[in-house]
Parts: sequence; structure tokens; C-alpha cells
Amino acid sequence: MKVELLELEGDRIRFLLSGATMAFANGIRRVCMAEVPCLAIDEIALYDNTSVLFDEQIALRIGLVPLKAENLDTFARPEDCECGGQGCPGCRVDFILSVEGPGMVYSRDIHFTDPGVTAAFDNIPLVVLGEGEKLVIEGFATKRIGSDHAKWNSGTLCGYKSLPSIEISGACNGCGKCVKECPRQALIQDEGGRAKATNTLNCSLCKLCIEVCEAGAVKIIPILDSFVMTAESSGEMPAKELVASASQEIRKRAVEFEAKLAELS
Amino acid sequence: MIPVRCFSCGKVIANVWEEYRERIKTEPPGKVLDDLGVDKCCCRRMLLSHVEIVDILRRYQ
Ligand code: SF4
Ligand code: SF4
Ligand SMILES: [Zn+2]
Ligand SMILES: [Zn+2]
Repeated sequence: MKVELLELEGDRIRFLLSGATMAFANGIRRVCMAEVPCLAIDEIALYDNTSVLFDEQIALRIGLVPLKAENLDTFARPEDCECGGQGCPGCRVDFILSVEGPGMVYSRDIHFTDPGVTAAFDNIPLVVLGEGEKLVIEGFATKRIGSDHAKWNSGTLCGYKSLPSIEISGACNGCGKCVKECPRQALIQDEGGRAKATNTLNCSLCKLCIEVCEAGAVKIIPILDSFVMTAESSGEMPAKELVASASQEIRKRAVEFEAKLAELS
Repeated sequence: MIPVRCFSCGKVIANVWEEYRERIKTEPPGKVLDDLGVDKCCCRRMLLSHVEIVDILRRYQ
């Protein structure tokens, strides 16, 4: 298996995975989206809310704020924790939010008791308060995974496509139609006017070039063991870390599975 | 209030809302969205189609 980094930019990563099966590539995609654990606000107690939004709406908005934790590994999922899910500092981070109007309440107003935990974006508007309106909330965040609830989704857009191989045969008469038709600028015309692939990584395998070519000279063949993978994190962690934790998560499950199988035989 | 995340993909979009709202007064929205790094069509429609009614409604609070 070979991994080649194509692009890495903060919360976005694009890499070429070759020598793997589609099942494996899809495994990484799914784990990135729904199984990488992260922190999100789980339960709140509203002591005062005289704002325009209902309590439930505020609860939803607060829950969806992504949280960054420097020490994410030190937290346990509530059901795996020593406390047995009752709640302790090992599986919970308490916070308090207390703002008095007028003004906007932002995600930076959520103050956690653990200094390593903060909102990933400090300027998410939560609710606007008028003169004399008040919002006082106390609660805690827990660590879980995206398949429990969408607020724990640490990956947003994660996907893959097969790497294509673009072949132009000798039948090409240099009409240039495919070059014009390609929405991804994956083809150009060389000096002789013949079509040539330039940007194979960008090709989306839409096959518009095949349709438009009267000479039948273009062939788009997906290479079945190479994948262009894209992952984007929702802000809890850099994209690089997201993919790394996804692979760790797969490994952890594989080990568990192996142990279960050993039990059976 | 602008939704915190995109309904479809889950990317946080509320963090650019205030800048977007200020800048579209003088610039074309498409260009502002490009600048802010909101490049998926699902996230773009969240900002493009949002109507802030909170300021109107709160008068009747
Ligand atoms: S459309 Fe076909 S014939 Fe025309 S340039 Fe492209 S490959 Fe060649
Ligand atoms: S399949 Fe689509 S994206 Fe790929 S080269 Fe042909 S027209 Fe371009
Ligand atoms: Zn605990
Ligand atoms: Zn989106």
C-alpha cells in the first residue's frame, strides 16, 4: 500500500492511496466521517433564558459548536470510563456560559473548566440578546463518535474516486472537442493538435469526452486499486490528524475483531 | 440566526456569517464566498439563502 500526499491545507487533505481495495478506501472514508471520537457539548442546564430563541434551539446551536481539545486522548467515552457512565472528570468537561444583553453571544463565551478545551471557532454567533435579556447555561461536553449524533462528526466531506487512466488512441483527428467539453480541464491539445491528458488527478470520470468524440479515440479506464481520497474535518482537529485517528480506529477494531474470532475458535 | 453548520455536509458556516453579511454590501456574494473558503454548493446555499429575521421578531418579544 502506498500513500502520496497531494494537498494539505489546515482542515482539508487530499491524498493518493494506491495498492488498496475499494473496501479499504471506503472504510477510511466512513471512519473519517462517523467514527473518529471528538468532544461536543452533550447536556446542558438552562438557568436563565430570556432571549428570542427557545431553550431547545439554543441547546441545538451549542451542541453543534465543534470543540478543540489539546488532550483529547486523556478523555474516555462515558461507557468505557471507570465511573461506569455516571460522569467524572475523566469523561466530562464542564462549562459555563453566562452573558447579559445587549449584544451577541458567541461561541467564545463558552468557558470550560479545562483550559485545554476551547471552541474550535470563536466567532460562531449563538444568539443575539436585547437590552436586559440574559442567558445563563451550565453543562458538560463528552467524547463520542459521529454515529451517536451528528454533532460528534469530526469529518464533513470525505470521499474518494478511482484514479483514471486516460488513453487517446491513434484514431484522434485533432478536432479538440473533448478538450472543450471536459469540465475539469483534464485534457489539452498538444502541438500536433491531438488530445493529451494533463491533469489526470482532476478527472471526475464523467466520460463526457467519450460521448463527444466522434472518432471514438478516448478511453477512460478507472485504475481499480488507486484512489484519490479527500477528507475535510469540521474543525475539531487538523485533517491530517483526522485521517491518522481514522486509521488508528480501524486498527483498533481489527484487533478487537481478531480477539473475538480467537475466542470462537 | 444563521444555522451553525451546513445542513447537508456538516461544515461550520456560522463563523463566516458576520464577515459575509458585511462584505456583500459592496462585493458580489459569489466572490465573497470564494474568498471565505466556502466552496461546496451545499454550504454556499446556506449563506446565500439565509434571511435574518431575528432582529425583526425580537421587537415583539
Ligand atoms: S474529441 Fe476525439 S478526435 Fe477530437 S481531439 Fe478529442 S480525442 Fe481527438
Ligand atoms: S471523463 Fe470527464 S473529467 Fe475525465 S477527461 Fe473526460 S471529460 Fe474530462
Ligand atoms: Zn467517567
Ligand atoms: Zn455543506
